[in-house]
Formats: sequence, structure tokens, C-alpha cells
Amino acid sequence: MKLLRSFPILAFAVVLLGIVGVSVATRSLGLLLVGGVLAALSWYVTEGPRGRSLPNWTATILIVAVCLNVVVDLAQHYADVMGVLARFVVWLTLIKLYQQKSPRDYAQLLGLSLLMMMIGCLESNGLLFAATLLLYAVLGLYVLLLYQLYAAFEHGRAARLGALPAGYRLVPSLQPIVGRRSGLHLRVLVVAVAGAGLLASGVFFVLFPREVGAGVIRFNARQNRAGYTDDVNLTSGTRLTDSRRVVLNVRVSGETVSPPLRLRGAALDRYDGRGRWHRSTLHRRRTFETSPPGMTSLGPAPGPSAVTQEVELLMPSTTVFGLGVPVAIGTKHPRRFRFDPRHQTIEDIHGSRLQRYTIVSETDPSDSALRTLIGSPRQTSGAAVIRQFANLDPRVAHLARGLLEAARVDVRPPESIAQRWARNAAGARVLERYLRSGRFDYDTDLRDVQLAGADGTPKDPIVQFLFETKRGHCEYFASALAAMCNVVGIPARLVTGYVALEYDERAGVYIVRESNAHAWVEVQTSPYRWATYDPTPPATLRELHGGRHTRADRWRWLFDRFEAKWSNNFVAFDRQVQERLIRSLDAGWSARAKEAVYAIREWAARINRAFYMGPAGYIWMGIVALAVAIAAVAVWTRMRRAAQLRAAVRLEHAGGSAQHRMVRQLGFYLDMLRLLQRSGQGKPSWQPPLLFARTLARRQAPGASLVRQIAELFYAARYGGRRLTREEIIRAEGLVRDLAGALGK
Amino acid sequence: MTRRYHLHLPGLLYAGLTILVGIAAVNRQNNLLFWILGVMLCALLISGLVSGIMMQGLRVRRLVAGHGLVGEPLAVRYSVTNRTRFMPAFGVHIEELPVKGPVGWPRLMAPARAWVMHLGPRETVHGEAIFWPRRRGEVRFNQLRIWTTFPFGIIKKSITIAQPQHTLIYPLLYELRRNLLRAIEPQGLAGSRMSPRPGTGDDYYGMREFRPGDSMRHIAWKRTACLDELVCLERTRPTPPRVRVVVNLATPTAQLPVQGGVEEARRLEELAISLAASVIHAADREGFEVGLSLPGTGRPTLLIRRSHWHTAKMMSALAAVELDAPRRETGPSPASQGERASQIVIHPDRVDTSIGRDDAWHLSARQMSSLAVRPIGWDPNESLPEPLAAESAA
Repeated sequence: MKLLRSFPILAFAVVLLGIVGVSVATRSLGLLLVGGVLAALSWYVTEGPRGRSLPNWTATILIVAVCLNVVVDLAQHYADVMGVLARFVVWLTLIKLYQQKSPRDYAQLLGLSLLMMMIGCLESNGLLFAATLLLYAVLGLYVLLLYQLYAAFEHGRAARLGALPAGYRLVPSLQPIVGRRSGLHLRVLVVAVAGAGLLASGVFFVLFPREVGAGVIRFNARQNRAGYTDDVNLTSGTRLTDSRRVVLNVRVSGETVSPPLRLRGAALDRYDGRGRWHRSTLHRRRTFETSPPGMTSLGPAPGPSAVTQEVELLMPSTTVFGLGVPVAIGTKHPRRFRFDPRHQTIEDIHGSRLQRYTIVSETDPSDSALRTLIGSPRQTSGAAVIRQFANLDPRVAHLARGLLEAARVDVRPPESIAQRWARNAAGARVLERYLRSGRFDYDTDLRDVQLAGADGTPKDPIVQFLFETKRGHCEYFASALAAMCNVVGIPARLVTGYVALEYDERAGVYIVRESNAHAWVEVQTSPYRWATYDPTPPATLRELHGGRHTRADRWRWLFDRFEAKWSNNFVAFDRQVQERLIRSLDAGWSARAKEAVYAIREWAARINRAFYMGPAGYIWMGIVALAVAIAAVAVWTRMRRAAQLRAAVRLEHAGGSAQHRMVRQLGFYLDMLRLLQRSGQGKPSWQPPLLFARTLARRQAPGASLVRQIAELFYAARYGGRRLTREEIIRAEGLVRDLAGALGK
Repeated sequence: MTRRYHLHLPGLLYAGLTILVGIAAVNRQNNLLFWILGVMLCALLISGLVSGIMMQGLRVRRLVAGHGLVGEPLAVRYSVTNRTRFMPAFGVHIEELPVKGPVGWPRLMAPARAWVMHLGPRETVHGEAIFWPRRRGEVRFNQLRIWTTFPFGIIKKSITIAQPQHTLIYPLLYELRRNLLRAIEPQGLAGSRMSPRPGTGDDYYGMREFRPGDSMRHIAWKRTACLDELVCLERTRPTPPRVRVVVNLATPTAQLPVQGGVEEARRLEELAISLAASVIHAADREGFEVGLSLPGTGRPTLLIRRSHWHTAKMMSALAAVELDAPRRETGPSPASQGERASQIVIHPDRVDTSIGRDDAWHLSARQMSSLAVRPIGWDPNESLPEPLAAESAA
């Protein structure tokens, strides 16, 4: 009873853990606070001294309201289905928590908590959520076992009371029938089941085939966006969330680089005129494979400005991030990459997840190094980029020209090549200064921006940013600068990547989070060289991406290290790691098996030599081994049968010789019992054989007379103290065969 | 003994959820989901394994009472033994499987279930199922099933055990009016008197020599003084009133001239049997010697006796009356013709004076409302409990 009394509070704890889990997974502090506080209060309200619960009609109204709310919520955040679902389930759970709880309600609550954890799994695989999930799994297991008992008890009690006639009070209510040490037994069972479950699920986890059927079902992209993307879409009206999830760690060595570290991801040089930037992919790209343990060079030898970066990716990405222009790359295992000489970017095309790599890049490469890397200058020609902006709103060109003229920079491209590159740099600087001047506000929430005019015609987001809204995030600033440069003939392209400012002194690494994703501009300042310009106001940049060196940060970095280990060992477990692991396990077992076979062979050879048996000795040994195996099986079978017979006939108290005699003679009785058992007419253990035969005869069951005859022979041997003759045993066996025929077995 | 695994609704829901998680895991290649999928599949496996091992060592014996009574709960106990050495058993349900045919228990009572929450290794406990018999008759149990959904409620594992047993449900008893008992109390030779045989009564019977073991109080001291040897006084034996109850079931149900048809006729017959049982019960309580005759049923006439065992025998005879069986012609019972006892003949419908002696009391089941105060216990005909009412309506 004590066990059952503990169920409600434990079930409540599981539900609370579910709310915490889903809040952690969706990174929703509001949900955690509101849901957690309301859930905690529910215990006091419903189970406290007053013990009040929500009436059913109120609960029904609230549920209807929540259902209506979910429709509205879904209409507003249709791309964030999981977030909407999480909120919906939490509200439903809260309503159920305030209701009076029957076993069915408890089942629904536990189901809702499981649903919350499932949503959490779909949303996150972070360490914190995983720890919550593990705790939930163990506690949930215990509660689930308790629930089985609790529900059965409540159901039994309700059924017994329901069957009671009105006014009849003589039958006592159901009390649970409990043996000794039930609590201990349950706890031991939970530990055993949890251990076995974890072990078996671990094996399953390791062996389940990966990368089969991935991405068959696709959901819409979330409206909330965090982190790096290799294209830019200014038309979606997104809200950038401040996700603190660590994406990668970078350890920098070599040339001193002052922060912020600009880790280039993708260079986007195609603009579709409707607010979307892409990479051009029609030019030639180079595929290569790394050859560990050394570094694989991309062409030029590392110069004086070479920086070595050891990058540890904590989230899956096919983009290789690095500072400046990459010249060499190294991985632990051979991997295939694609190098894009036009953009000086590297992409992982190996198939499995890239976890760790070392990249050497030049922050200030020499022209010769760039020439070796890129090849023809046509590869980096900016003319194509400029042409894309020919049809842009003339106001942009007018604005850019005005700014350049005001700064006394040539509006038209000079004839001289050298002057042209200098003018590109100067012009880009002027335009960058204009965007940084404070006329434009940095804003991450642009969901209210109307992307179409009153007549429904779509607006160019860049034009809208420059002349109407004058607010946006880094992508808008960078797009505006690139557009303004290109309309006045300065080739400029957008670059997306990360800005690293947060440095963990203890680990000696830069910590890059999703919120550090950034976009900036590269302007062509020589045939091979593209210089970096960032129109985002530097103060905003520092505020957004700067590491806060507080005491709490140290703990967070410690947690980040654990999360890194978790990500590398669990989240990053993919087909390649799986194959490697299985191969290593297999190699170990194979080696042991080979050793065992070798030892057996040695042993056999030694025996052969000892007995001078020659080549035929192995045949003899094989025959002897086979005979021994057959004998062992026969002895085991016989002993098992004897044990079963002893149990069936209850020979424990019979004397030694009598016991042996009966075991030898009464095999037919055991066969009869088995036959009857198989035919669904098993003899109850409490019923004597003859009485059972009579019962069968009364039921007119087939073979009743045969059972009676066999029982009589059994009585003679077992209780008559008579040794059955050979003929009697043969007769009994014949009767058993007849019985098998009669029963159709 | 038949072992089976059943996949019931929660199991199907669980399987569906597992499939969904599997799809999500494969689609998203999310390792946490892969692990969850592994846990869910392992839970399925472990559920079957644990319940299988748990049930393997269980042995059940039904302990059913010799008789039950309509309107009173019938407790069927089950002795459950866990023979395993290490594995405890949790949440074990025990239920009777329906027996088809006219003597199966579902005909007489709604199903009930016993539940054992915990049973340690090598322990024996007793579970109890409370049945509510709503009709009299022979109850036959055949197979019982023990099942559990422990540990996760996903898979139901059951063992079916054949244990044929039977018991009797006595008819519904009514508390009779006091004046009825006074009226039927026989007078004269059949009534309460002192019989001319030695016993423990008050009247003088005779003298006899002292025997070792005789009480000092029984010694007739005056006579002893005269005869100079110990002489004891003997008293007469008190004889209780004697009653024979005759239930007229000679006329087949269909031939009873009842307006409500066969159903009403059958109801009246059952009421007659109940009335007879109530008379026997009341008479037994008042100290009467009672006998029973059941003309038309082919059952032998029971002699007039008074003992607990005899009352049980008469109740059993009434309980076992099978009204669907063909009625047999019965002549006048030799035991009842010259018998020194008053006779009460109970008829289902109209009084037929050809049955019973001339001085017999004739009662009809239709008079039940005037003869009885109320039923002893719960009357299934008046207020059925919810589950029984639903079943009865069905």
C-alpha cells in the first residue's frame, strides 16, 4: 500500500520533468517558467490541505480554448510546428494537472509527458536535454511500473464497489494483496530492467543502420532562424533567435590574429533581384582527398601570414570554416573535399559527418600564392556579379553615386587597372561608412516587414532596407553594401560564416555559437584578391558576438566542454563511426577466435604425438569428441527428464533405491502428463490421477479410459510398492501412444 | 496449461508510437531518437521476457466454498504460489473463463476478478474474487486464467489452467412473517412433545440402575435409599415439531395456466423454490425437524431430520432443481402419506389439493408478498447492481 501511495507524487514528478524537458529542448524560458510554476502550484492546489480540483466543465472549456489557441498559434507560426505543438501539449498537461485524477487521467498525463519528451527529441539533442531525458527515462520506468499496479488496484476497487448492491456494506473494499518486501523487489526489478534496457538499447543504437532513408519527409523551415546558412534569403521576414548553442570550437596557432575571427563559410555572388543570394556553381571546382596523418596542400606553400586552425565541429556541417584563404587541410581519416577556387571555400563531400579538421589559411596571401591557388584571373572576375544589378532600382545607384561623389571617389571606373582596384577599395570604404553611420538600425525581428506593396507587387528587400524600413540584421547591411558597390561597378560579393569573439582561456579555444553567424562583404581589390568590408556597426557586432567574461561564463564553458564530448561521441555517431566501431570489435573477436582455434589445434597435435597415432589420429579424436558430445547431450536429456519426473511424481521423500526404480519405470506417466498438457486438458497438480481420469470420463473427453489404465499402472508402481514388469511397462507405453492418437497429437 | 501472449490496445498504441519514432529517427538521423527507438523496442522485448519469466513460476489453486446463496456474495479464493527462486510477480490478475452450457457460471453470476499486487519468490498468497450470484443452481468452473500486463502494460501474458470444480448456489431466502411460522407449527403428534423414550426432557420416564458416568444429579436418592443401590432417574426425550415441505413442480412450466406466458410461469416456479427454501430456513431456525419432497423433479424424498448437514442437503436439493429438465410423473410419496408431521405444499401458481395430504397447508408463490417481509440479503430481481443490470438488459 505504501508503494501505491507514492505513485501520485512520482507521477507528478515525471510530468514536471516532461515540462522541463520540452522547455529545455525548445529553449523556451517562458514556457519553463510559466509551465513549471503552474505545474508546481497544481500539486498544492489539488493535493494540498484543501485539495480542490478543477470541475470537469471548466476543464472542458479550457481544453477547447487551448485547441482554438493552437489553431491561431499555428496560423501565426506555421513553420514552427514543433514549438506550437510543445506549447499546446504543455497547456493540456497543465489543465489535466488541475483536474481530479483517476487512473485514466494519470495515464493521459504520463502519455502527455512522453509526448513532450518526444517533441523534445525532435527539437534538440543537446546534453542538457539528454540528461533530462535520461532522468525521465529512469524515473518514468519506475512510475510506469507503479502505474500498472495503481491502475489495476483502482480498477479492481471500482469494479468491486460497482458490483455492490445499493446499501450493501458487508463486503470490505479491495485491499492489495502484497507479499513480503514488495518495495525492495520492485526497486530491484526496476534497476534490473533499466540496466538491461540501457544495455540492449545501447547495442541497438550502435548496430542500427545509419543514413538509410534520411530526409524522406521534409518539414517547412522554421520561421525562427539561428546559425549559419550557405544562402541568404531576405524575403522570408525572419526573426533571428539568439541561440547559444555551440557550433564549433577553434584553436588558432601560428600568426597572431586579433579578434574578431572571421570564419568564412560561403561566398555568395549570385543575386536573383528578389532578395536571394546564392553561390555560383557553374565554374570549375576541384575535388581532392586528404591523406592523413599529414596536411594536404591546395597548391601554394604556407606563407608568413599562415594561420593554423584546429576546428572541432559540434553540429553537422558540410562547410569547412576557416580564416582567410585556405592553403592546406588535414583530417584524422581520409576524406573527400571540393575546393572552389573562385570563392576560396572548401566543402566536405565525403558523405559522413565531418567532426574535426585542421586547416591552414593565409590571412594576407601573396599574389603568387593566390595565382597558384586560383589559376586563371577569369576565375575571380567580378564582371558577372556587377551585371546582376543592372536592373536594380535606380535610386540605389543614385544614392551610391551621390555618396562616392561626396567623398570624391571616382564614380566611373578608371581606365587604369591599378587605379580601378584602389578606387574599388576606397569606394567600398565610403559606402561601408555610410551604412555604419547610424542611419540604419540593427534589428533581428523583421516579421512585421511587408514584402509587397499595396498593389501586391513584390519589393526588393535591399531597396526597402535602404529607403523605407532602414532596419535589418547583418544580411541586410551586407546585401545593401554589396548592391551599392555593384551598381557603381565595384565587384562585391556576400560572405556568410561566423564571427568568433568568445575566447575560453582555460581551454585555449574560441567558442563559436549559432548566434555568432554573420554576413559581410568582400570587394575585389586586385585580380585575385577580395578584401573584407563589414557594414554592420562595429559596436553592434561586439555587443552581439562578444564573449561575456563573467563568472557564469566559466561554468558555461565547462558545460560546453561536456556538451562537446557529448556531441562528438553521441550526436556525431554516424555510419562511418559505426563501421569503424564494428570493425574494431569484429577484429578483436576474430583475433580471439583464431587464438582459440590455434590452441585447440596445438592441443590435438600434442595428444596425437603422445599416442603415436599418426594422421588417422585426428579422425579418431574427432570420433571420440563426437561420441562424448552425443553422450553429454544424452546424459543431460536423461537427467532433465528424471528431474521433471521427480517433480511431477513428488519423489523427494522416496528412498534412494525406490526413487531410482520409479524414475526408471514411470517415464510413461510423465509422457501422459505432457500429452494432456499439450492438448489443453492438463491435470491439475492437486488432483490425484484416478480422480482426474474420472473427471475426464465425466466430461466425456477422448482417451479418458486410457488415462485411467495408465493411472492404475502408475498407482501400482508409485504407491503399491510393486516393481512393474517389462511387459507392463511396454503396455503402459502402448497406452500412451494410443492416448496420443486419441488426442490427435 | 496454455501460455499465450496477447497484444491489446495499449500494446498496439505503443507499437504505433514506436513506428512513428522509428520513422522520425530514420528521417532525421537523430541519434537521440535512435536511442529512444532502441529503448522502446527493448521495452517491448523486456516486457515480454519479464512477464514470461514471472508467469512461468506461478501456480494457482481455486478454493471455492461448498455453496453460495443468491443475494449474498460468493467469495472464490485463489491460492497463488510463486515457485521461482528469484523473480517476484507483480500485478497478477486471476479470472474464470466462461463455461458454455446450462451449468456454466456465467449463467448465474457476473464475472469477477482476483488481483494479487505482489508475490515474492517462493511465497504463497490468497487472492479473492467476489461473485454476486443472481440465480440458484449448480455453478461449474472449468478453466481459470491468470494474466498480467506487468511491467509496461504493452503485452498481456496469460496462462490458462484447467481446474474443473463446482459449487451450488442456494435459492434466494426471504424473511417470513411470524404468523406464518406460528400457523405452520404443527400440533398434536406432529407438534412439539415429549416422546416416550429416554432423553433429556423434563417429564419423568422411568428408573434404571446407575451406570458409571451418570451425573450425580440424576440419582434418585429416595429410591436408592430404599433399594440400597444407586438408581438413576430417566426423563423423556423432547421431540421438536415435524414439518414436511413439498414443492409442487409436477406440472411442466409450459403447462402452467399463467397469464404472463412461460417467463412468468418460470418466475413463479423460482419463487416457489425460494419460498420453500425460506420455509426450511425459518423452520430450521425455530428448531423444527424438516423434510423435503420435490414431486416432478425425480429427486428422492428427503426424510424429516434436524441437523445442519440435513438442512444443507435440502438446500442443495432445491438449488439443483433443473426446471428445464423434463418433469417426471410422481405418485403419492409413501414417506409423506403416513408420516407424523404437518405438511406444507408450495405451488408455483394455483393450489392443487391433489398433491399432499388432506390436512396439508397449501401455499402459492403468488402469495409471496403477503408471506414474506423482505429478502435476506440482496434481491437480484429488484435492484440489480450496475454491471449486472447492464448484462441482464443485454
